[in-house]
Formats: sequence, C-alpha cells, structure tokens
Amino acid sequence: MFSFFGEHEYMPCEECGASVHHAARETHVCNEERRLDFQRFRQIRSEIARFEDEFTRYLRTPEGRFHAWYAERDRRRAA
Amino acid sequence: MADASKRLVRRLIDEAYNDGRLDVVDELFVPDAVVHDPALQHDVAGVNAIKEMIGGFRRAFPDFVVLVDDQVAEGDRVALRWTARGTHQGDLWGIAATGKEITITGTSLYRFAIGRIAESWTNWDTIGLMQQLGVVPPFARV
Repeated sequence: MFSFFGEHEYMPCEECGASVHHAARETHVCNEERRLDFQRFRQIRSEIARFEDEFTRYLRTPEGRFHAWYAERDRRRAA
Repeated sequence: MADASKRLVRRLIDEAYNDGRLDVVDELFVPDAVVHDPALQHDVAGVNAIKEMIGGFRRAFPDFVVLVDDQVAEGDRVALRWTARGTHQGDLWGIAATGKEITITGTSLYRFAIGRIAESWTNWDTIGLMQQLGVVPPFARV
C-alpha cells in the first residue's frame, strides 16, 4: 500500500534550486543565472554556518566567556 | 452572498499572501477570527496573530505565490484548493534558508460571519515541503 511513496512530485534541482516536477526531471535545463545565484547562495550559507560554529566554539572558551561577560556588562551599563 | 465571500477569499490570497499587504487582514477577518492548521503548534487566533503567520511565510518565501486551483462556495463556507510556490530565502520554523524553490498544495475551508472570515481550516503538504527543503529524506519505496 505504500508503493506510492517515494520522492515528492516536485523536488528542487540540486544544481539550480528550481522546483521541478518529476515528469520534467529528465528534460530540465538549468537557467544559468539562477544556477549561479543558487551556487553563490549555498556557498554563503555554508560560510555563515561555519562562522556560527566557530563563534559558538569560541564563546565556550575561557576567553570567549570573558568577552561575552564583558560585552553584557557594557550593554547593561549603557541601558 | 457566496460570490461576495469568494471575492473576499481571493483578496486574501492575492493581496495578503501574494502581495504581502497584511493590513487587508483587518478588513477581511473578524477581529477574533481563528485559523486552524495542524502544521502549526496552536490555533492562530486574532487578526494580529494571523498577520504574523502570513508575514512569517512571506519572510521565509519572499516571492511566495498562491495559485487558486478550485474555489467552491455554499452557504457561509468557501472551499479552496490551492498550489503555492516560493523560494526559501529566510528562516522557517528554525530551518535556515536553503535557496530552494518549493511547490506545495493544500486545501482550505473558510467560514464567514457578518461578511468577514470568522474561521478557517487548512490542510497542506507539510511533509512535501520538508522533503523539498531537504529536512526529511524521501520515503523508501516499499
């Protein structure tokens, strides 16, 4: 009874992110501008994610904890 | 009355969902209207909460467009079958933007009172959205 299940009828193209119906998957051709935008977006997202990971790790170090405490103290004084 | 109600629902789709003009919610809904959607944790009650719900979708999918596939009205109810498309460019329920374009379908039923939307029930393809965003894997074929 579950043989209908599989991938969704629409899935984003891995190269350009466009929503492509399963019947058009074989014939889909990426729009070059869209493909470049999507690849650039992916790169930026991965850089942001890497920065967030590194920043989170830094905040757990003694130096990071001190700077977080110091910044919070300044914020409270300014408020 | 049915035609007037259908026009109001079309305005909701065209102006609020598609154009992001959230101020029309005040005009289209009664102040204490309730939206039922199993994809959301709680019912959405009141026009401000409804604006926030629609605004949240539009922040996640700034080019969000809903196409009305079918619209039927009877008595104080209007039913809608719709297809929506948009590009995931902002946070959605904690899922960071993926840049992927999605296509989802759903059905909504609106109840009218004193010429405005008083209540709605929506069921839509949440799992399909999650698959397209890559949050859940495709189901294995059995």
